[in-house]
Amino acid sequence: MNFRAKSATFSSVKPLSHSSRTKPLPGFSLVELLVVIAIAAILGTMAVAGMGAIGSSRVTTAAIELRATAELARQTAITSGRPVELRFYKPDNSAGEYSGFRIVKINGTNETKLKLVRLPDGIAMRSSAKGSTILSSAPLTNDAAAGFIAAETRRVRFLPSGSIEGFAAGAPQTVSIARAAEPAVANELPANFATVSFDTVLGTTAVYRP
Amino acid sequence: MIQDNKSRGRTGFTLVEMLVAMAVTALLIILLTNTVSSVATSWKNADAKVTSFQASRFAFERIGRSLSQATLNPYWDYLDAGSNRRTTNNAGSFVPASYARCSDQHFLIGPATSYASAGQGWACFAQAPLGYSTNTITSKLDNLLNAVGFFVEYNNDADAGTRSLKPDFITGSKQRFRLMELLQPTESLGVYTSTNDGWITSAMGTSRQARPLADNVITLIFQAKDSDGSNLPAGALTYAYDSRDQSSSGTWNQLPTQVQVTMVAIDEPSAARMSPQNKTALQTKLGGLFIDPSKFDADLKRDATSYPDTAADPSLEAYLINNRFNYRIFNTTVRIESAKWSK
Repeated sequence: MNFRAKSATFSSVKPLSHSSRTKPLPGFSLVELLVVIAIAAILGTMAVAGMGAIGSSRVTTAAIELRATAELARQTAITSGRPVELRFYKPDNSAGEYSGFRIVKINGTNETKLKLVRLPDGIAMRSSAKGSTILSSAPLTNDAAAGFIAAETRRVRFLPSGSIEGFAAGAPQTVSIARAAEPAVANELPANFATVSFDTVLGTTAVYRP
Repeated sequence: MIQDNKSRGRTGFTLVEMLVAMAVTALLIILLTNTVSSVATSWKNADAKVTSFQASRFAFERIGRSLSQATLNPYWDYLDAGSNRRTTNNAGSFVPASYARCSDQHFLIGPATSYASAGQGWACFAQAPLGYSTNTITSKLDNLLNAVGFFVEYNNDADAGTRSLKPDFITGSKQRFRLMELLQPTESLGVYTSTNDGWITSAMGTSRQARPLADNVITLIFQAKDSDGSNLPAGALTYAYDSRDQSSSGTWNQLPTQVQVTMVAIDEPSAARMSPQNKTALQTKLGGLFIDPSKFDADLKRDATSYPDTAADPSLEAYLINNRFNYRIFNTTVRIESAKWSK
């Protein structure tokens, strides 16, 4: 308001009748503009950081969903007394990483396939040996699903004892989920990922983040 | 004049106005962020509560399912006048004097500290046909006999013998009270070659076969029960039960008819904020509880009528309430299908 008062004194030399009209345009000075831009930039940075947090929480959510599905597969195997598989599907586009999974109940040669879960756009499972032992070394099973390569489907089989078939009782087996945009470096994990870890003896699972 | 006319009412913002506006906006943003973050925190807490107790519930169901299948496979054998069985050493001089129920298997409830140094509460070890084998061909057989055991200990998920879930590339470690499961594959059963509890101590030894089943389970109590609900061995002042204890003739080579399993779990936020002092205090508290089965209810449950103030109540539940732990108590009685009880 002081600025206005000042301009009023400047204009006081002009005829009284025009004084109210002749206030000069205060507008923005360069300094003012710079201050505004600086503050906007700070807010913008914070917003972008926030968006990053949202992206990482999507990775975690996907890992939690995979873990819940694995838990369901194990429980189904124990309660039904039959093997139950958790299968991982690779999309048929060129740069695709594994991005789908589902439970398949095995009854002799009959298979009951439950609904296929697709990871949201921009999120995929890594298939490097570091972080995803299951997607690099679990047995392949020729299972077709629309949009996925049948021959690249991998499986983890839960037995009625709850354990996972075909792995030595040693290190945990893993599946890591990351944003698809993060470049895949051979045998390295990106800065932001979530790993679902499987204990092959008890069939228990856990989610780990860096 | 025209210029003046045009400029009228188009004075723009002054810096002060701009700053005031931005201050107001900033204030609104801060308020909004606060609300959002407090909602997020409470959502996270609720979620942690659900997920941590979900893992405990699954684990608890697994204990029940495994123990209900416990076997001893008892048979009748001769004893001599000194109540000894025929062995290769005394075969030449053995004179049968009586029959007795014998078994090569073992069912044991004992203090967890006897088998794990940072153990808590009571541990239970048994044999059950769970069908676990590391051999790909024999693992197709669903009823292979395994040795199985459950106990609680305070441990580090990066240590050998606990690290069956944490991948190597994940840095850092978490010390937690954990429910552990011992699972011995059929091909390495040690129960037939050992006397007493030697097979347990060796399975829990250097390359131990125990794995974490659920985090944040602070104690586990097993009570061997007769079909009428009374504790076994009859009149015992301890929770311990040993089917290989010949001095307790009532329970020698017998499975209890039922086992009452009680498990106390806390949630992950409560565990995460537990300081080393709080942890030691909790261990001390637990160490003084669950020694005498006749005091089981007083040790476990809060008694609001006798102790309106939880600080004076000696029970575990009152302690957890007082120290703001989010807890859940799981309790069930498991019927052991193959118990052949006769008095």
